[in-house]
Amino acid sequence: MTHPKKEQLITFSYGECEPSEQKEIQHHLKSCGECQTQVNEWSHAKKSLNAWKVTAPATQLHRFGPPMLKWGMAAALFVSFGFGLNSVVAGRQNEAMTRKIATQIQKESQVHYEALLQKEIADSRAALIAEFKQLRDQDRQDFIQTMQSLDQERSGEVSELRKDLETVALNAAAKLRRTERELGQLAILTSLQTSETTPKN
Amino acid sequence: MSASFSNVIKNLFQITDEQAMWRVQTEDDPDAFAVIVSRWKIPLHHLCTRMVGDQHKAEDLTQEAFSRLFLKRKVYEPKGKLSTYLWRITLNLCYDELRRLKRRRETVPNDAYQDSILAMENFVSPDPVPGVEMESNEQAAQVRAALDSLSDSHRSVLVLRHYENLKFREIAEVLEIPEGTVKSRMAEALSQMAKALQHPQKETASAVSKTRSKLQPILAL
Repeated sequence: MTHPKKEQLITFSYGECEPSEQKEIQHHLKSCGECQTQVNEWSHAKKSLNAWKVTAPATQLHRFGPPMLKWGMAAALFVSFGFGLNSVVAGRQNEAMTRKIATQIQKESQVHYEALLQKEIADSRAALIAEFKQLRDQDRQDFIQTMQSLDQERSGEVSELRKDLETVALNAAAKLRRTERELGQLAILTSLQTSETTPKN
Repeated sequence: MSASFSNVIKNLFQITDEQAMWRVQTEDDPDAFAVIVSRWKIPLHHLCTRMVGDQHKAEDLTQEAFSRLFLKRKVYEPKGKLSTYLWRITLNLCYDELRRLKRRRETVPNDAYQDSILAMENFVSPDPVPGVEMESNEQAAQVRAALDSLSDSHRSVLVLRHYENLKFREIAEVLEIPEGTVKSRMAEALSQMAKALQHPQKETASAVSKTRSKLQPILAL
């Protein structure tokens, strides 16, 4: 006969077995005195253990845990003090005091947090404005610089163009003068030719 | 019928421990923390009392556990149930306290004697009560003495399973050990308790009979 392990028996004893395992162990216990004795022994021990009853702590802890660390500490200290105090003072008074202090703490911490929030908002607004100004100045400088470089490029091109135009104009003027001179010479030659032919007639 | 129905409705609208803890973490919500405290102060207090055997010390330890939970709320990682975490930190505080007590007993033997006297007084009602209650006080003292004889690791398993009604799987999660180890420790602890309670120590028995004989004339009045 194979006995169930002690781990299985203790699980059975506390009713945590699977239904199939439960049946198997029950079946085994019917025919095995050794395991039956073990389970009975535990069962007696369990009954005896119930003789020690612990009463609940008398203190009422309803309000606890304000939002800030130091208040948390304060509340913890207060309530632990309350635990000791409770043997002397009635629980109801203690509870009322705990509530009162908790509301007070809540109020104070609310004011504190609001002030912190306002400061945070003001700080971040100032920081944003400063950053915006800096960026705007930077942008403006960049723009001016770009415009200046563009202007320089343009003026260079213009001066080159002027130079070209002047060359063209000078060349044209020289050519005109030469043509004028040639025309003059041609006119003289033509008049000479005419005077030579006229006496012959 | 109507009461159970109203309970069902009430439970539907109640926040879970994990939701309450989430509120404590994100919003520092004092009401949510109060919910956790009101739900867990009694079970944790019972655990501490049965671990250290002193009701007043247990109150301090319970407070300490809640303070620790509150102080560590920002670093708490919600991996499992909040209750598992609460049982664990409370149990660790109990272990620390037991170590402190042991050190003190080793260095100052007289203190230990005083402690045991005080501890015994905690289990005997201050009012002289006749008959059945007297008997149950004796039994309670025997159980306490038997529990005290267990090692810390066996006692914690026994207290969590038997008195706090945690499943073996849950205890394994709290103690971060295999479920099989929890079961074998429980079997061992219960066998030791069975032996200790079958043959209570002679000194305890004689002390109890002495007390009874002293009280007999008073009770006869």
